[in-house]
Amino acid sequence: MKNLSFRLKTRIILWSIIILTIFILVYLAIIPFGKITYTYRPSGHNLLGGKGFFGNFTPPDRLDIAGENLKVIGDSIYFSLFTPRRFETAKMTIVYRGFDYESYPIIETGVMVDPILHNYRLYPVSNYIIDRLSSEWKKINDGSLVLLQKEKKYSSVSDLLASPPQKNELAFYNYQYNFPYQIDNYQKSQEVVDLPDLRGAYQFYTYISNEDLNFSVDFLDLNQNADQNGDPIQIYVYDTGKKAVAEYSLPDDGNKTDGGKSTEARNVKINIPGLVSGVYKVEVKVNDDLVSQNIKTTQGKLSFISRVWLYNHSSQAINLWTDGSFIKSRVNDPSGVGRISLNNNYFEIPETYQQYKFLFDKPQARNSIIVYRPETIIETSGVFSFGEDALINPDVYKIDQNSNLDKIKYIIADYNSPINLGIWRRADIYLDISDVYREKGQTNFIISIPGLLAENNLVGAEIKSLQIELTGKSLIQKIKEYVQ
Amino acid sequence: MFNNRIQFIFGSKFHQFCQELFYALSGGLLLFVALEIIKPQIVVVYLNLSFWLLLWFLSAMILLLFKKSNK
Repeated sequence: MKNLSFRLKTRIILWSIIILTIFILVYLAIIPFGKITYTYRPSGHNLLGGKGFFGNFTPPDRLDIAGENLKVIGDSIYFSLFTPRRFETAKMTIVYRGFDYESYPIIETGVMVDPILHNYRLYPVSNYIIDRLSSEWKKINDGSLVLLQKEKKYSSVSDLLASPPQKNELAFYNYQYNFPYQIDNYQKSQEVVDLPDLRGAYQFYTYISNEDLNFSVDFLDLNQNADQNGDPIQIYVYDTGKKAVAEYSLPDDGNKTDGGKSTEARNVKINIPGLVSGVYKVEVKVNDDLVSQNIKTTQGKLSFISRVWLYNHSSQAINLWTDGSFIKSRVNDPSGVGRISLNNNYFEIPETYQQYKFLFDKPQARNSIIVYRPETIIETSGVFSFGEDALINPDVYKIDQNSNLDKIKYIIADYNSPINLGIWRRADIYLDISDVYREKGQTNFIISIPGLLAENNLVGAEIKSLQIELTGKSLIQKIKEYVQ
Repeated sequence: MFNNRIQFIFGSKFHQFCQELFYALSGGLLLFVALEIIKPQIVVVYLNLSFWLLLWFLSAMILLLFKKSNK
């Protein structure tokens, strides 16, 4: 080194730095050991000026970023994480504090799995209802599950599943189990029922017993939104065990523009004979450009799950029934405000494109809803039907922020309580990200505080730090897989 | 004015350093751009290439000052 000229020494040092930087970047791109952690600090800065792995938290009107920490003032907020490669699992560690656990008892996070339906797979961060009942009721930990009992009757979750209590005494949180569902004295219907037009995606339950699954729909493409993927149609039919028994798909009609000129409606007919008696779920996966018209079915029992977008341009009153205890409603009609009737109590929807929540005065097993305005989106915690007798809900009651636990005696939850750190709490959430939707290396995440409305300007939670530890296949495992 | 404070002596160690810095920054920039083409975003999440470009531009300017002082 001594005999080298100044120029050569400088050259060696500078190029060593460049080559080392390149090596580090390549290493961080490949992540050969399959494990990496990314940390988001609301008040942090990147030393080298890089844009970082975390995208901006949005929408801005649901966030307060003025202070040191990130304050969530509206449900839901979104962020993306850039990952140089695909991973299998993510351990998200959130250090946060809530401000009103009684009013906003649930905090959840999730990851986008379906870009068409904007579906997120949700995981619990904190559930104050479960936390509170854990100290008041009898609690049994069964693996990752928690069984809460008002009066001790079962010794384990499997014990409860083997001889379940009455349906109205049981509730689930972040847990799914399908009990056999049979309707006594069920009479199959021969009558063809016309259902109102629906916009966008929807899912429904139907009951089959010695009959064909019969459903016909015309899809009208409004061409109001430009989507690079076009407006394809996918319909899946699942049995009780969540196994797909049929699949239908239609590609885009060739018009991907957003000119607003509707193209000719295309019909999809579903007719599946020979199905075993039980409940079937039909999932219609389309984007908001598509309207389902002339929906015809002979199914006597047919209930739409959680959400429907009524495309009611004739402005006729539409009667629905629900087993939910509340309705969230939004009128997507620029011509005026909306009106909704819940068990004959009338509510005004004063502004368009704003979501309003209405509670049934005395919720029954079947509650009546009448919607008057065109283009109204309604949501509930249960199901909707267009006829009183058509309403079925095979799902076990799910705990949400509006839950009425008066009749509930048993709760099964897949949930770990957060750790108390003084005024802050730390929650470790394990997410399955093996099949999530990734676009240009970005994975989309959500943080949800159900019921928190930005217009109330209340802080639902304050996030101090957020860390995501990703685990995936190592380079050696990938090479082995490739060779085999 | 600038010339009065710093001596831009052609062939000096400072001149040699500036030349090498310019070549290294140019090479680094090309490699980073190539990496970005192969694996988009992998450089920009860690480094701000605008800063790198600014540094590269400054080194080029200094080299031009050396050339000017040599005339």
